[in-house]
Amino acid sequence: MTYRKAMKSCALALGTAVLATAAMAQDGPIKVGVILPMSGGGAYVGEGIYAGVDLAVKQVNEAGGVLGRPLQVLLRDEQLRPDVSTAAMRELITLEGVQHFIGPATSATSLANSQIAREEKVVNISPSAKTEALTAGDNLHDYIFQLAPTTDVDGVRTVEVLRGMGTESICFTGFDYAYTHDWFAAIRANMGDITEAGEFLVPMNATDFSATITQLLSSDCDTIVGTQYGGSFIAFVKQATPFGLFESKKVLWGSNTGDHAVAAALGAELPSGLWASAADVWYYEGEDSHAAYQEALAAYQGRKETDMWPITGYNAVKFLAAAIEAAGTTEPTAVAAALEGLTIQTPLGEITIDPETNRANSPEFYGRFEPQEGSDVARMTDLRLVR
Amino acid sequence: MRKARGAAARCNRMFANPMILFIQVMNSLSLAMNLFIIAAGLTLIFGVLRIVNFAHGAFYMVGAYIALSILRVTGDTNLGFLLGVLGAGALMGAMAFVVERGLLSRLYDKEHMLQLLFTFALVLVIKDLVKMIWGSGQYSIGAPPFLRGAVNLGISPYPKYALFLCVMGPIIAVAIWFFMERTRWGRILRAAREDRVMLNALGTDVKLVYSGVFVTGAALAAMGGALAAPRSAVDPGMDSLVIIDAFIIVIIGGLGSLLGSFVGALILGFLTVMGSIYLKEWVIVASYVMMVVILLVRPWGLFGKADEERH
Repeated sequence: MTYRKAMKSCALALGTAVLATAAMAQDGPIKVGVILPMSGGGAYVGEGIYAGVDLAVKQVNEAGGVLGRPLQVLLRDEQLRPDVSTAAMRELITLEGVQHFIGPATSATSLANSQIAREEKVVNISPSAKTEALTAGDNLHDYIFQLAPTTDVDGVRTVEVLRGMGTESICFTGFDYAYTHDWFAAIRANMGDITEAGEFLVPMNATDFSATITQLLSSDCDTIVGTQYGGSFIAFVKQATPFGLFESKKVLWGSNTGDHAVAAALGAELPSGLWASAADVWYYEGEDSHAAYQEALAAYQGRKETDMWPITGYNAVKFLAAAIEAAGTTEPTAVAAALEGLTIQTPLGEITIDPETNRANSPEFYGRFEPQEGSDVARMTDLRLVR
Repeated sequence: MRKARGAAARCNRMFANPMILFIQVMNSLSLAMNLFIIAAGLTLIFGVLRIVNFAHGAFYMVGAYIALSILRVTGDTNLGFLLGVLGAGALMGAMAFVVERGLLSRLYDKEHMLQLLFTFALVLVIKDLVKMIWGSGQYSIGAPPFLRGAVNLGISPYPKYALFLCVMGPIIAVAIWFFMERTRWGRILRAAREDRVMLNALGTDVKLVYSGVFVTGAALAAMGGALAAPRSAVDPGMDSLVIIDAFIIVIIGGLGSLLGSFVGALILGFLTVMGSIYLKEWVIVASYVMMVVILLVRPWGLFGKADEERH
């Protein structure tokens, strides 16, 4: 073989290899970066959202995938830390070529990752962050989409519930962070003739609430509105109960404390009469689509009494899959454009992403915890699915 | 201005109302004693072994989980709670013995950085083990039946369990002091702290002493976790929150000083409770500022010994 022929052969082989690789990338799985808290105190949230993501991905793939390609989840632990969360996102973009993201879970980490989505022009669906700052003002961009009801929406809904409770004056308490400030501001903006008797915030992740509980007890309010979440909410309840706080005041709690996992953890210690909200409750008897979803989730998790977090991840995957199908491509700018104004059928009915704000009109449950006969775990009664 | 006026109003209201002031003082004591039980083990280990044990918070967490498992078997009874607390200490102590003899003892003559890295690695291993055994969910342990509700202290009713912690702290402090200062084993421990080579030359089994101290420190942490559980949630993040407070206490009190830990816990307890009323969001910064100020004045802590005093 002459030198010229050898070079031609090499060039041909190289070209074929490049084309084959490109073809494989087109036909291979669609990578979805999922960034959630999978360790530490936030792991129960991350594992819950991930269960919903995994269930939805399995359903999508069993139905033939998206554009004929399966979805492939690349999971990273954000540890509830913005620095870890952003590093995970950059790693997935740089090393794995991921262009579509679900997560992180909290307002603080979501705000940080959204800026990377803007810089790198990759799709970022936030399943659970509630702070309106994520999609407000300068923070709103073409690639960020917020599925959880934002604090301004929650504020309007909360005041409706407070009026139903007969509230005349409120004390606020909670962790000193974005969600608390935004939610309380939204309540203040809507509460009209309901008066405010005081605000008692504690540093993030505080575990001793005794001083705050004493302040709340001595305040001239008939209702307490609070935001401590997860294990901190459990600690608050356990420290406040011996003081008789729940007998002397009406209480409404944010931060998704209506989650069945919270009720299951506290068991008989959960004060009856406490109002709370949740993205989902397994015992809701409504749409057939919800019953079908709960049946699938129960089979996936091996228990009937499921938690609320999976539905947030489940809906995020369904939105992403629908947007890629609608766009006819995985190209992020086209997928982001398809997400704007997109409506999908979810277990809790139709949900639409507002094309102006990039926020979904996700519904939320409100209810009052009461003990159940034959069970140690309380459930929310007077259950309202607020849209 | 609004925040400042609010803090001033709360201050006036509290001092004008002796009942509120009394409850806040009791809240401070209760938190302080809870923290002391945890910090005591940390300072004991450092005092004798000269090891900064990052895994102390993880031992605390494991103690709470062990108590949870025991209570699931025994049911929610007084005896079950007692078994939970003692069982947490015993089982964690047994695990600590294996860790100390099998791994940590190989690092005593190595540089401090290796010891630090080892205890940090232990935290990661324990966290994953906890997640594998108990999962990532949150659990709750109730107070034992005889400590539920409130007791009237004359000025005001106060939660029985918080009061119980106020009593347990001094009892444990006196027990450790008595052991260290008034028993033969205590003298040996103090000797090991001062000069382990000489103690070994005199025929004392220093290895056994070290194992005993590490086991006791770990057991104290675990019992602290079991005792704290009725006031908090049992979850995989509970270690990271408490370890910072424990370190602040032993640093301001003086590394290795039991009295220092007791006083340090009181300072941090009062600062946390009272600070959350007056300093609000600055309360976290306040504990670090206090630590810096104390270390500037006495780099070896309030009750620690300077190196020149030691030799």
